[in-house]
Amino acid sequence: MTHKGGNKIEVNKKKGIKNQDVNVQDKRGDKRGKAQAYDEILIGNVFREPYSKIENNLSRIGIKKLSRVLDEMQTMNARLRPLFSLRHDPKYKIDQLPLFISKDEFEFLKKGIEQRVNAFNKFLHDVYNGTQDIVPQDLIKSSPYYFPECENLVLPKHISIFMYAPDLLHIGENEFLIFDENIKLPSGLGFAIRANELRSQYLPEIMDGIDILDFDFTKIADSLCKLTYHPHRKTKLSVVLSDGFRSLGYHDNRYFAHHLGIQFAEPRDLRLDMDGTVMLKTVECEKEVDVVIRRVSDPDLYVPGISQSYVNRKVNVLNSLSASILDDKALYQYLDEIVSVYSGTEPMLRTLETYSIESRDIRQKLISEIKSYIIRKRESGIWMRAGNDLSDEEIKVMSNELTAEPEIYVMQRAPSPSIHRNIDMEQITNLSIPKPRKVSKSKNEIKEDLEMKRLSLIANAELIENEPDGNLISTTRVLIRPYAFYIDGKIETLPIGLVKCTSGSTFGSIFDCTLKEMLVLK
Amino acid sequence: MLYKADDVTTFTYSYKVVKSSNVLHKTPISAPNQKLIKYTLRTDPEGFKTNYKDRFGNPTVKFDVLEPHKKLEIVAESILDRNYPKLIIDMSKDYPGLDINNSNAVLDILDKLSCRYPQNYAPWLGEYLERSKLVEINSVTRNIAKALVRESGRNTFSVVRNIMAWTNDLIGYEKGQTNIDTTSNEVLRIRFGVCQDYAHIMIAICRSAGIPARYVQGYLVGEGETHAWVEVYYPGIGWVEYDPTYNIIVGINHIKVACGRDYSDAAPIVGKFIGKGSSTMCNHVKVVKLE
Repeated sequence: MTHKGGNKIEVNKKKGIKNQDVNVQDKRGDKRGKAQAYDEILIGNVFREPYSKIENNLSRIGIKKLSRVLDEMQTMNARLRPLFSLRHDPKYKIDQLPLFISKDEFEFLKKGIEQRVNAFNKFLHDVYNGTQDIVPQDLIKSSPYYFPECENLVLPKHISIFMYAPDLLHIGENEFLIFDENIKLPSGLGFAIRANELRSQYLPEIMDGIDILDFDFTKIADSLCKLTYHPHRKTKLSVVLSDGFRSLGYHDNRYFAHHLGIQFAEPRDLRLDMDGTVMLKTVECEKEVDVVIRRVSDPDLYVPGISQSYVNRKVNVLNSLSASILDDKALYQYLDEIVSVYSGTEPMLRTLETYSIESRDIRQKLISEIKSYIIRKRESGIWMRAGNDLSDEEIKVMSNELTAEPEIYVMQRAPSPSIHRNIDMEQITNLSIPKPRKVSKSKNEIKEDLEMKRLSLIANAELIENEPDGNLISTTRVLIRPYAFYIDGKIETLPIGLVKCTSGSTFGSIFDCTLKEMLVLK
Repeated sequence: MLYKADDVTTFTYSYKVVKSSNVLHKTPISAPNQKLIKYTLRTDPEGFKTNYKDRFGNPTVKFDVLEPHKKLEIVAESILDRNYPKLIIDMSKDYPGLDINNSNAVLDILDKLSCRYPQNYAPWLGEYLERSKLVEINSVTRNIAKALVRESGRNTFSVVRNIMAWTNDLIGYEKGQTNIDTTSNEVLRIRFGVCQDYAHIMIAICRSAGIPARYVQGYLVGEGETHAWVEVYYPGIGWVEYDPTYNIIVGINHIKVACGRDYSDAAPIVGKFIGKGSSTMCNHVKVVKLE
């Protein structure tokens, strides 16, 4: 079978290793290697469509108001952070400059995501019924996310993936690459909603003259209730299972549940009945739960025995436990093939080139070119090292580790995320504070200074007049995370998404990033 | 020779636990000189099992118990036919009168044979020449290897024999000094250990000398626990088994269950569970001759 883009691929079923001919130059790889990263805001020196309006709106608002409003928003946002968390310093911030996606691109994205999720749902059904032959059986069964107990389990409407939120690299017009699948825990929708709320509450002027698609969450809860094992029950109850208020994701989960109209539950709110039915404790009585949306990777840790109930078809858990196998990064090299086989057409969204390094030849070749690759662990979603960031000594240590345990790592071609801008909140709020060396200026003079200043989205210092202290706008690299749900029998993508910003060459968890919202133009 | 091997592993937990998930290497390998005739794996509670071959070709069972349990019992029973390795059978034909049960006599004859590794020979052997999780290769092991090679001449067979004898001399057999995470480096320092540590040291020195070697886990007739030894690869011959704990070349008394780069690849059982309290493991192996 030949792969799109010229890569030769032979599947060696016995060894479970995919022999990829690394020497063959990939067209996409070539393009990304030489061409500049995609700029979301500018084409050359001209603004893309809505951003000139944003620029005008920003200058109308003025630095003076902006500095005040951003300060207020920062405080409001800080109040909603978890007070007690296991990690000491959740650094995430919400940035107010949204990322816009044109309608054409959104339609493309929508079709791509629908094609992908439908293919995955069929594939997962076949994996647990032993009828797929794309991925070697030994690789599937040796995966830490393969659950033998789910074999031959028939899910309601064969839906394993109810919510899908992949991390996308925007590499060109109508060109996206999948960086991460996020099947297990598609998080962050709460933050996107929160960013949207904050913006419309404090800074509605920024969107003057820009029409965006509206979104409607109401249908999601309805279609969720149809995915129950007990269609005869009069009232159907679905809950979002969070891991408690000490979790960093608590507010994300709470916002998510609140906006989707689904009951929010902490582990202590759920209990297992003698026959395995999951009960929700409420002030009136205990209610039978039909569907649990898990926001924890292993729900058994929080409600012991819930996976037994899931296997016994007492309760449905979404995204289903069996779907986690797609988060095993060793499977990433097969995903494009899975999509093309199960959908019958070429995949619209492709996966970032991934290589298993179990074969010694491939490993040595990739280690010698480690600067243009990133290293990721098969099991972990967050752990990531960019070869480019490593010093010579670190590369030595890393290649020793890769040699010692090649089966737990995969290597991917270093991604080239698209470029966007952040409003530097600290710089702007600092502007309103008189600085020691400007003490000679009177308060009125400082106010006038602020009124004179203008924010420009072209993030070069020379465009910000008389500003010696640095840029008010900083460049950033972004990953786009759209959200798709199973609604009324088909997969629908919401016209709101989350954007992860980073200044380095790797992406960590969303809790360590600056976040912004993705919006779709009408 | 027909053998019956019973392997009983019992986990006892101080409190009830749920969702214990285990990976077992307890199915004897089917090799040219070892044929598996019958195999049963019983577990109590029964749980969900799936079979596959891991990347070293070992038959592996992944096995999950979701329900609450306080005790987990795993009983693996196998009947198998184990023969002498092909190398030893060939030698007995070439040298009539050789006592193939006498390890020293066999090794003496091996010393007379010659074997060379051509350059860039069989790249798939690469991982058995590099360091792995528990087997470290460093200047210390390289120096030891260099000295042992110098001592035993250019013949690979006598180098390996020398390495085995040196390992057997160096380490004293004592339980409790090491655990399953002890690396070869630490064993070199403390010089005490069990069969697993003997194997790790021999593998480390072999690899430092440029000889591909791997770890084998299995049963030994007359021993109540699982045993570990080493396989060394010779071009044109294949894998040859050595037991550094007893300083012998392996005949028919060893039953091969799993192999890998070191203990962590071929561990008999690896698992986790959800629950508080501690667990205690008890393993008992009984191998009897049926003929």
